[in-house]
Amino acid sequence: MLFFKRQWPIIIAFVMGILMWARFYVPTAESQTLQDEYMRWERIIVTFASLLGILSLLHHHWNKVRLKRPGFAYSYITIFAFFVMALAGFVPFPIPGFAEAHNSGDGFHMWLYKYMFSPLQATMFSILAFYIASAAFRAFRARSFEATALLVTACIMMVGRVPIGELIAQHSVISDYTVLNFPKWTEWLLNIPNAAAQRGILLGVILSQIAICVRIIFGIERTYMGGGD
Amino acid sequence: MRKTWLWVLMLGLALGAPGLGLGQQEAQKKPPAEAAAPAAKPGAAAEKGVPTATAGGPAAAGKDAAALATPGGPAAALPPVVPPPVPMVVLPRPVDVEVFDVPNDNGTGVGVLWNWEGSTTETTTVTIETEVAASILDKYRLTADEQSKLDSARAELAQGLSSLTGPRDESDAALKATEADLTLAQNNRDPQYFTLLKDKWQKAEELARLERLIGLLRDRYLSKVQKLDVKDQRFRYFEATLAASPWLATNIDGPAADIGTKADSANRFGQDPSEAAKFYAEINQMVALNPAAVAGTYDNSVKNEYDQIPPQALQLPLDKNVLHNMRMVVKDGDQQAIYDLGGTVSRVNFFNFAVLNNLIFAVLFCIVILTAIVIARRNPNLFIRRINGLEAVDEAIGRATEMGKPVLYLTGTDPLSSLSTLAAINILGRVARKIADYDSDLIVPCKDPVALTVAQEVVREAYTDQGRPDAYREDNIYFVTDDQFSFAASVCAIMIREKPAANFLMGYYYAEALLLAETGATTGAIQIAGTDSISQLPFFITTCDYTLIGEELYAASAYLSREPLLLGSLRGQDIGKALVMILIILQTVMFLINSELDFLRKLVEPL
Repeated sequence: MLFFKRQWPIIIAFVMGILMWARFYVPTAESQTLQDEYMRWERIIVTFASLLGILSLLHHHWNKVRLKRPGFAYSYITIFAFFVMALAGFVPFPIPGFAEAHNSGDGFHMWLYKYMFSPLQATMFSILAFYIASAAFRAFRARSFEATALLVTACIMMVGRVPIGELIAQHSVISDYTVLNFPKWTEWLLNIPNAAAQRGILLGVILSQIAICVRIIFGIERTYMGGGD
Repeated sequence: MRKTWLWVLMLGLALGAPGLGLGQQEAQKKPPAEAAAPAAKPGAAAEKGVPTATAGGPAAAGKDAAALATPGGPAAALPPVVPPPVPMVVLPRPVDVEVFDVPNDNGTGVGVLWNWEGSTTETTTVTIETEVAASILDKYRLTADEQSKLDSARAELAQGLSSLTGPRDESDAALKATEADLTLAQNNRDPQYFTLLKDKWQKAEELARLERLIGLLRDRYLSKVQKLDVKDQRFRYFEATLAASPWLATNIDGPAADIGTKADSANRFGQDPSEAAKFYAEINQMVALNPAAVAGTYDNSVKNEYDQIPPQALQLPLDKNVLHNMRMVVKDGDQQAIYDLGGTVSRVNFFNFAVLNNLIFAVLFCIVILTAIVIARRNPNLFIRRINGLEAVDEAIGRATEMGKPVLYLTGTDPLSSLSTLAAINILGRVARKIADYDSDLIVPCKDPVALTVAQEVVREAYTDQGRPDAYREDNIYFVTDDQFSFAASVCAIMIREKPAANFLMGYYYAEALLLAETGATTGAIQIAGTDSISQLPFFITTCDYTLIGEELYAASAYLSREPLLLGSLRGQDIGKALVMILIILQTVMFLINSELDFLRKLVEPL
């Protein structure tokens, strides 16, 4: 039993890891088929895992309701919304007063999606603008040299990206890199220091990813299987 | 008015002149079928690039023009409006042709290199055709057993469909009629509207039921004999196409201007920069036409007996290990020329030599890492630089314990197939051990159901390893949703309601990163983030107390465990990074000396 819990996953990880790595270098139709089959297996596993996920969600919220934990009223809403949305997906024809009223021609499920789910999503996304403002305020307080540099850079970027920056540049530029040519400075900031930093990070990330793959393929890293050492 | 007639008279005289005007138009009106006479056997061509059969080309056109030209008659006899003469186009000819086997993602491929003699125009089109042996049919021919199995499955399907397609079509027509009535009733505010609406739903339901049944029948058929059906379709397509001509069109078919040069496909020619301006086409598929298309009766709205629209053509890979003769059809307007290109055997390439350098680098890097691990096993006291974010893990968990608040841990929003999520799960294992030690609560809301099952297992094992299996609560590691902003909303709500003392935001994040981190910051929790998402790093740095940047996320598991084997791999990773840095510095210096010394590019580009 311990073999299937410890060694067997390592063997599978090793064999599949080496196989999929080698596949990259083998340009045959069979190699492509192997990749396609692998993707299919992955989809099947994800489908079954989704069922587990749904059970986990319901179990969590049901327990919350049952034990009357703080905020259990929200769990009622979650369970209710889950079943309404799921059942609406099974209803094969439009329900009076919903789809027809809006000339959408879709069923109740699509009505819920269009008029409830999408606006809620958009609301969450739109909050981001305010969060950016508050995060920027916190970051731009010039308490240290780094924060001051960040503040100055951000100001240049902001002015360089709005029409007034272009106007200032047009009316005052003598050469490409005068102090007031904000669009040019913006471009420079993005293309030189920013790109250099991003590439540095990316290089480290890619080498780390290769290293973690080697660790997993050779069974050195086993934390993801539980236990680990 | 008089001036106009003078112009007409002059135009008429010009068009009537022998060898010009009318004669040329007649030659250009020759139908393509007549122009493209069957090509001679390619092997018989003495020289590659020499047209084996041309018609409608400059010479032929000139000859036809001479034969068909009529002596100029009286100008007044000509119609007053005559289209201007179309100038003759001299078709370009491929010379210095090379045909060779190339490695290809489809397994087989043929490359063709050539120079143009003469120039192409905007209207010049090029088609490369391959000669296909009739023996290919045997490859797709069904055996007697297969044929009988396919026939019986088809008969069963046809029988099922015959009883359903009729009612389905009637139901569809009835629904459309009711919809029309409904629109009318709506416009006229007719009291019958709701009755009609109910009627429409019933008909829509009936149509959907019939469609479902047809779908089920078709699915059943495909599950039984899909492979045989595909094989049979290929056979029929090939049989019809080969019966018309042994020359099959390939994936090279279009304007000559779209064809790139050798320089554009440098990865197919190693570091050899010679003849970079030569034109290059890579053939990896041949086109078999629908039998109806061969007969010229194909209609893309007509469904077959299985209620499907058959494709006009099938694109199939070149045959393995057989000689492929190639020819090029050059067209411009009504003119066409066919040139023999020669042939080559397209072999199965078991190794893509274009990525040999990639393999060498990968193997070298693996050797470096494995060597570093072996060295680390012998000498476990390796120095690893301090990572503040990971040093703060104990502090964060300790704070949570002191405050009696839980710890919130996120594994990112990517699925488990992403390495960032895997790294986050690895860190979760280490963090969970510490939490078990400190006897604090751990909440792990998950966005990916696969990550959920793994996270549950990892945390359970961590608690068991620390001798605290009783403290593990599976209910605290749960699936939320796989939708991005719903997940963000849910986690923000947990942060506000549960008020965790420490938030760990590990893994890959998108637009929700700031929503999560900013909400966490407002609750006063100590926040440790770790991501390799470059676009979200600034948000984490701004809003979190500690941030693991890029590679630190992947190093975290080794750092927290202090296991010699894992630390060894970190050391190997650092050696690899140092080597890359040395190469970049070397390349920069060489660039400063001479801008043509770009060895690094050549080293890493596909060969």
